[in-house]
Amino acid sequence: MRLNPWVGITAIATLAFLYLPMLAVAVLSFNKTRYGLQWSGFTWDWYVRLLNNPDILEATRNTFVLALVSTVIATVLGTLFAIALERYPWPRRSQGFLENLLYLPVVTPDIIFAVALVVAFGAFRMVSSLFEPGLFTMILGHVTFQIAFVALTVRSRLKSLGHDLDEAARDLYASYGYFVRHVLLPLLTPGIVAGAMLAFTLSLDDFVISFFTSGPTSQTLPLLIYASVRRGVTPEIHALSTLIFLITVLLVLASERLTRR
Amino acid sequence: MTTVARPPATGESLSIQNVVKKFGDFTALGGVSLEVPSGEFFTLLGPSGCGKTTLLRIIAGLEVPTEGRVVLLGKDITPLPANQRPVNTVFQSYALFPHLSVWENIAFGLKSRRMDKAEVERRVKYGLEILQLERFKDRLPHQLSGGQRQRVALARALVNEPQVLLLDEPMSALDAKLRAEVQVQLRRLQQQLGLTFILVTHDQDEAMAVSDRIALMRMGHLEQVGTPDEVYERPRTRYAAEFLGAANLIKGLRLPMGFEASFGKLALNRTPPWDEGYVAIRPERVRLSEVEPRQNGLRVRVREAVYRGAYQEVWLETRRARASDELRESLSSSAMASSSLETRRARASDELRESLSSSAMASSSLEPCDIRVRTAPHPTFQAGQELWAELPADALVVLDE
Repeated sequence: MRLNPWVGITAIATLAFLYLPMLAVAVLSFNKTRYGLQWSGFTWDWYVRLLNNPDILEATRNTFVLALVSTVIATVLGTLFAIALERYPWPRRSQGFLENLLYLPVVTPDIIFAVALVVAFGAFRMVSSLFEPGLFTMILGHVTFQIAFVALTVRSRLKSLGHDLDEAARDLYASYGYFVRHVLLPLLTPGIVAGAMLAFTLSLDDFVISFFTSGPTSQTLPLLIYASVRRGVTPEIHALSTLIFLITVLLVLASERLTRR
Repeated sequence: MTTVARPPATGESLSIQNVVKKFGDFTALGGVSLEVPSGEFFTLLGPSGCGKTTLLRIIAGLEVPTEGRVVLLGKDITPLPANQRPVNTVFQSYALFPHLSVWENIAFGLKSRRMDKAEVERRVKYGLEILQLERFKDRLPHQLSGGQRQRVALARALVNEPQVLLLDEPMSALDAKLRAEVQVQLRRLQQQLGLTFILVTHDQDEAMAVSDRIALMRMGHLEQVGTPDEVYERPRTRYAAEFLGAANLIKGLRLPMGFEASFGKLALNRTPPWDEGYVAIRPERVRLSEVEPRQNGLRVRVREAVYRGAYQEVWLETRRARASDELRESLSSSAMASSSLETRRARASDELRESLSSSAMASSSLEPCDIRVRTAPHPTFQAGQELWAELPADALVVLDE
């Protein structure tokens, strides 16, 4: 059977549509021209400047601290949640309900989540000054949306393992702890790592939740880019965007490889 | 050849006492009691859903019985969780740990008990040896064939030296040829080790091939327990007669030391306990000859003969007893009309038996029935041929229900 050549052409056009803007940004990040789109020669200059800009370095540090801490918390909680959801003998009806609760954060618009967090932190602030907008509230905010992604990834891995191995381990004199350490965790590791990487990327790229929960001292890269772009797009921003895009691509590829195994 | 003395019978190794298991409204086991002496190869046989796997899981400690007790060597183990029972299981799926090598898989049950290193080494080596797995000890489960995986599962269970080894349909994933081979090996291994094996299967050939005793299960209770030949030769119920191999079920009325079927009177070794009921005879026990036998002879016509290589299968058309000879004419002509359809169905023997027994159930009058015979492949019989069939009295089994 011959496939209509338009099918292939459409696919390529779609890919171009998706990636040309990014490619343009990457090309412009090496352009000597400060303003406008004229090509006036290749330079690493903008990248060098990035490294000498204290605001950007500060934002980078914040971004990675936020991403790392929130990912660690979300990975632990998400994994435990997935195991509980999948293995605890829930009554059938509440199992379905819990599953829906798990999916909900994935499809809820970020802005709704962000507003809800603002309201919640506002209420908590009356109890403790810990909830003043800043890195701490951002971490909490990120954890809330990351958990669902980690739990979903780990859960699909758990589902594919089935219950046989649990029973085999019990039959072979293993305590639950021994089973978790020697069977469950080693087999779940690819799922856990993939979930963690996904969570990390999401945190790295997040703008909406960060925007609503950040304080004056907790500028992250997405927030910084947003603020700079309002003043006009500069080649430094192109360079920064290109770097973030590269990191994201690498993380997604790595997580993809791990889940496929 | 291995000649290993079986351990002296130390009485009941495993005792199942009145075990009931309910899943919600569904009763999987309705009060099962069993005694399995140590060193016995015991088989739980039955169709899917009869409760055999549930019973095995209760012995393993993977299910908790709703009522009843499981007693092992005089000790009540009902409250013990699976990981504290001296019982190991070969799972239907084998449930090998996919991230561990063959060696590590076999060592799992030893290491989990913090057994000392040298002892682990010794036992795993022994396990690898008796199941001829030395060459594969560093492989991962996905690098093994089905038969090799099954041997790893067996070794993994056996190195723990369990009091009872449970096998949950361990051969269902193997192809027919390998299965027959493994059955022989399994039987040999059990005799060599002198361990108590409890096998769950739905395959009656497998059950007959390996077991010391068979428990035939039906809908959560034991239908009949006995040695393979007892259960095969002396089935107590229609269900037992039909589940283990093929059987002719003949409906009849009680006579002293005999019964009256549609085709006439037959002598039995005892007087049936019922007024109207069934008598069974295995197809291979029916004798065919040209001359009238002394007792229990029937004049029959061959409806169909199927050559099967090692044997031939013959369906015999019986006739109504003389009193209703006129009626027979009309009956046999209608039978002829449907015979081509019948022929096709006959090949699926189960279907035939089902249709026969259900038609027999439907009316209380005694319908003439076909008799299925399994006999030597030569001389071959022709459809339409008339001859004598003998149903020897000692081959006729009076069924209780």
